[in-house]
Amino acid sequence: MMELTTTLQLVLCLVLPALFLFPAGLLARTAMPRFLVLVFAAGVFVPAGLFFKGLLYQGLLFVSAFCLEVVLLHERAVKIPREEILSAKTLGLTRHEIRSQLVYPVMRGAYLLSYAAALFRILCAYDLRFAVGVLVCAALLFITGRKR
Amino acid sequence: MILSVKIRKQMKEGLLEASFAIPDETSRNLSILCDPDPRRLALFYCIAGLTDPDEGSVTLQDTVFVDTLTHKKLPPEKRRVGLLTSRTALFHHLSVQDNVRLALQSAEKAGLALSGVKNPVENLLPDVLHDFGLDGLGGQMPGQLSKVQQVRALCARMMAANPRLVLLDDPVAGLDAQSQASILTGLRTVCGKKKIPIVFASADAEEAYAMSDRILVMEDGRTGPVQERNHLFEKPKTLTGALMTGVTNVTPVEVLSKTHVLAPAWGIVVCKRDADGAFVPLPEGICAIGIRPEDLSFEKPEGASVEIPVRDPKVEETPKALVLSFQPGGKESERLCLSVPKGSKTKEELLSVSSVYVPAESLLYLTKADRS
Repeated sequence: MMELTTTLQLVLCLVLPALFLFPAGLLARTAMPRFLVLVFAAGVFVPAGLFFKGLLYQGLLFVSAFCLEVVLLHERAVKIPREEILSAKTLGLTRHEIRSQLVYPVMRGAYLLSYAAALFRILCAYDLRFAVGVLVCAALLFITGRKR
Repeated sequence: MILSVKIRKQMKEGLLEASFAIPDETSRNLSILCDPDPRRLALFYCIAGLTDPDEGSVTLQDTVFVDTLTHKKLPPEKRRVGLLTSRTALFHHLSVQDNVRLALQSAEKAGLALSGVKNPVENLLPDVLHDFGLDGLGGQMPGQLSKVQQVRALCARMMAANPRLVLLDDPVAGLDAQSQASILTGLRTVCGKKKIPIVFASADAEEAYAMSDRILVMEDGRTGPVQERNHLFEKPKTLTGALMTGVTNVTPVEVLSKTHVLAPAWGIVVCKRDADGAFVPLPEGICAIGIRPEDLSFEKPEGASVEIPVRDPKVEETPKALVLSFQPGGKESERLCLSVPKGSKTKEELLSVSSVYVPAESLLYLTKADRS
């Protein structure tokens, strides 16, 4: 099984979670059924370790990081009630205005924290730093996203 | 034509089939009397553009909102329909004045004439807050407001967006009667000044009566005909209409012939006669008869009347009246009620009554649904 070079690995670790943010954000903002949220939450713990240092190991780690981003962003996105979005439409706000006035102020910071958590997931896949890092990110996400 | 709605939508709860119109300026408001039903909200969502009907069309003045035949569909933000339901929420991360400001800015961007003044958003903001009793509350966050204040803020925000049509789906549900009345009156006044039509849906007959002089009853997802409010309250045609407009004495009937029905629970046979005394066919699909409590009398009225025996009478006292309830068909039958003002009769007098009368023309012949 071919191993990735360290530089390429590092670039992938930094770039891929950033690229994941967009689809993860889109997924998280849709009204995801609860079972799908559970599937993504379970995806955070894919047993990548079984394929130690292989290509599959890397791939599963990225899948896991993507799931983590979806779950964390969803945690923030659910703080935007559907009724608020519908109200905004009836008030004449365009999609762009809804994003800038309602979604971004609530999602602000969540993308950065999800990215950080995903990096912890990839770089410290199975050690305590990963757990601590994700916990800190999740706590910050929760605190900064609290309803005023 | 101000508003024309003719839509069908299959939903999980059943079919939504709505057909009604606000034809002219003589009465811009319309009330929909309907039990809480997701189809009622779906109807409003179809008008506001938040969901699409399976077929049909919605037109406001000259603007086609949606028409499935011509595949026309106007996005919700271009319809400018104000929608207020019991679930509508303020933007939780914005203060009250920012909520209203957002709506004003939206109206300004849409090129709607807000006023002739410079910087209309900031100039109009205090007025809008004042109109809905929100003076001094502009800086508050939604979570810091009481339920009544939140509804007021929602009204202010909706009206700030300068809507062309206002849809109200029982937005004051759960508030005390005084606040309900003041909020609805406020909305009616502001909309009246700006000549904005209102479609108001509620299960509360008195609110529906107060909001509009034309009412339609929506039953099982289908709208009935638009009726003049007094006509509906005096002579409801459907069982649902009767129950929703406060007819408490209602009983199912068995059809004996085209002109006669039996009300087994009351133990009476009912027929209808014309001025010459000839039998008149009863409405097709009759399923129940009803009597308004105020139509029952102790003395035999002039003209044709129905005599109802009083069995097992009971009298209950309320602050202003004595309520006589009895079982005309004996122990197993449904109770009929009539109330008399205190002082007009004593409890003992009421208990000794042997029969009551209802004028034949006051009997309500009720069908299951009115599709006319």
